[in-house]
Amino acid sequence: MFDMIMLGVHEVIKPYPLLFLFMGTVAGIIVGCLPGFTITMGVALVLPLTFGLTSMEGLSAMIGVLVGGLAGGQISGILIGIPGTPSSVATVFDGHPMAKRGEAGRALATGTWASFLGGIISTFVMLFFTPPLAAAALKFGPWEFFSLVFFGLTIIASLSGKSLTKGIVSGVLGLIAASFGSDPMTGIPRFDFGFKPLTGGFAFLPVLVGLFAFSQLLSNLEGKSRSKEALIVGSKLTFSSIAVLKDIFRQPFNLLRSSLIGVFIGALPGAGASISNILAYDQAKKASRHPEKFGTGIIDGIIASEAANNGTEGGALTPTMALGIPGGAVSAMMLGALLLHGIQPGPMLIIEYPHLVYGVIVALFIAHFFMLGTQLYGIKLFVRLTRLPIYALVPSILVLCAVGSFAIFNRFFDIWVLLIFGGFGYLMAKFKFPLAPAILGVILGPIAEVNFRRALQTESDITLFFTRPISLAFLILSFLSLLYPFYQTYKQNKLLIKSQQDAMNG
Amino acid sequence: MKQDKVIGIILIVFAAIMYHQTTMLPPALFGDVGAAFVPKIWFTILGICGVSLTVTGFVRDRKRKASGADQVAADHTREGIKEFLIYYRFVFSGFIIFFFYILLMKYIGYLYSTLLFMPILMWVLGPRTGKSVGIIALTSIGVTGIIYFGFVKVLRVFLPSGSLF
Repeated sequence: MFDMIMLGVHEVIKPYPLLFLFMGTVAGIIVGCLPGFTITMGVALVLPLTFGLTSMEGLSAMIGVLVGGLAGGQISGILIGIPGTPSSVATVFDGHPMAKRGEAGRALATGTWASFLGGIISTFVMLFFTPPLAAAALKFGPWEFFSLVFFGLTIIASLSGKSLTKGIVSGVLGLIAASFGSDPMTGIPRFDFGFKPLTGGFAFLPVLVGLFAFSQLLSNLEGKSRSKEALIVGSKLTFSSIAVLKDIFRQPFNLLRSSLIGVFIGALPGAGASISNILAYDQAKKASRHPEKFGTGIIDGIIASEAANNGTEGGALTPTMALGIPGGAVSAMMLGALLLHGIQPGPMLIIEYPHLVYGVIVALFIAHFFMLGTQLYGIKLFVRLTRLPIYALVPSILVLCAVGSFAIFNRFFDIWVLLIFGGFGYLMAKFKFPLAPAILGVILGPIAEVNFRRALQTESDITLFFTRPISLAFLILSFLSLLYPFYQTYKQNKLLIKSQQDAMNG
Repeated sequence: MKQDKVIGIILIVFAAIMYHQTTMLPPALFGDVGAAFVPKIWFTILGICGVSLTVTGFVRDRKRKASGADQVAADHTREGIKEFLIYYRFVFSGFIIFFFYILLMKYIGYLYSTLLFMPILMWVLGPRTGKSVGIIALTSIGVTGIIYFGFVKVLRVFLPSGSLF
């Protein structure tokens, strides 16, 4: 393993990958600390840029955005009370009360260090779990792969929104968008309606940028007027790292538990940092000797939330690199970056491109040091950036979206695709259709189809999907994940009835 | 939910039309299930989901009516429409201005179209003060230049030069 790690080190410790990793981290913190701008959007914006870079440089930039974004979300959350990203929602519960008390510096330093430690723990989990997972997946045939992709799609549909039907619709729409263009097995044009640019299908890049970045920008323009939230600037923004580390290491179980919750949730397709931070906060509260203090401004809650959200990175990237199955929208875009360079994700990746897989792990590790240094010492600058006028930001990012979409194939059609899918994504979000399943559908659609058809070409017996043990296991998991929302509703109804009965009796 | 019913019906119609389109694809060869097989599955699932959304929408409406609960009606009065337009005016204008930006870029290229698009959109979205004019001018020139430099000079990627030039 040491040789492999050194391979990754050689790949990343070069001027350009390090530069892009650093720039990505800074960009990620900026995206993270701007309320209304999500990490997925930041990564979507980096995706077109990766075309002009080497695959490692592109992946480094994306990893930087991911790490920086997850940590940067706490800045506005603690100072304004509005989390920069959904992954820092639980940080606000205690971080903002601390800032109000004049302890903003302590809250920010605790959050940054917890993010760093959570991220490092998850990097080690990724390092130790990716190779055996990929080795196990090498034994997979097309049956297992199809069932695995099916599981990925069902779990994301059931976890990413309130309505299972809407989640499935979103995923299927992504699969349908991916089926336009040439048939992946025979090359026959499909659904081109005699329109020449459609014979190549929708390039996934403008589709992803449209669905996630463009639609988000449109959402930011809603409202009669924009009011500026008052930042707590009177408070001291820096704090002694040694004192904070002492505080954090006084509760090692909270740190470890929260990080591992992040890793586990991150590995589940569809469930990401937006869920893990709340879950870890809840678990920390339950395990605490003073749960009543949670929400009043104690560091325990910040440690739990921030360790968990950065912990999701390693969890999400493990199945992405080992199996080619992304743990979420961000890792789906990283697969997109690989596809842009003609690299096919999957279990063969670690054999054919070990420098890339270990390079990603090393980059993830280094990005946390960049994040730590930048966020601790550049906090004043980032706080200023939260005051950037939105009327200047939105047009600038729109231009970047348009240029990035065009640059891949030099086609105007791709900018129209961006506009159409952007508008479509905006409407989907308005009508409460989750967008993450659509992204996974776009990326996983061709993989699902090719494996399904390969399986049937190898052996026309469809029952093999159910008789091969691993394939069957994935299908059972898919079925259970589809049942999960019903179980949740049942549980909620039961709780509701119980609380009503208690109220009547009491 | 009225919206869900309408979306459900749209999905059913879309799935039916596209399913019909799959029947026009060439038949399968050499043991393959064919180019139409998998899309047929997706459109079938989409159609079923459309039916599910429509039916649940109807059932919810009926339950609501039976329970006598007040339904929040969409505000179709002149005031309601005005409120709606005011709330979404920046969304609409952003979308439309971007549409014309793409149209224009094809003819006059990236540099000129962006130098027009950025100040227009910022003018529409932002406050009209003396300070904002400075921000608009600086941002327009700065962002157009940085993106041009980054893509063309650093990443060596082509940007639209415009068919008129």
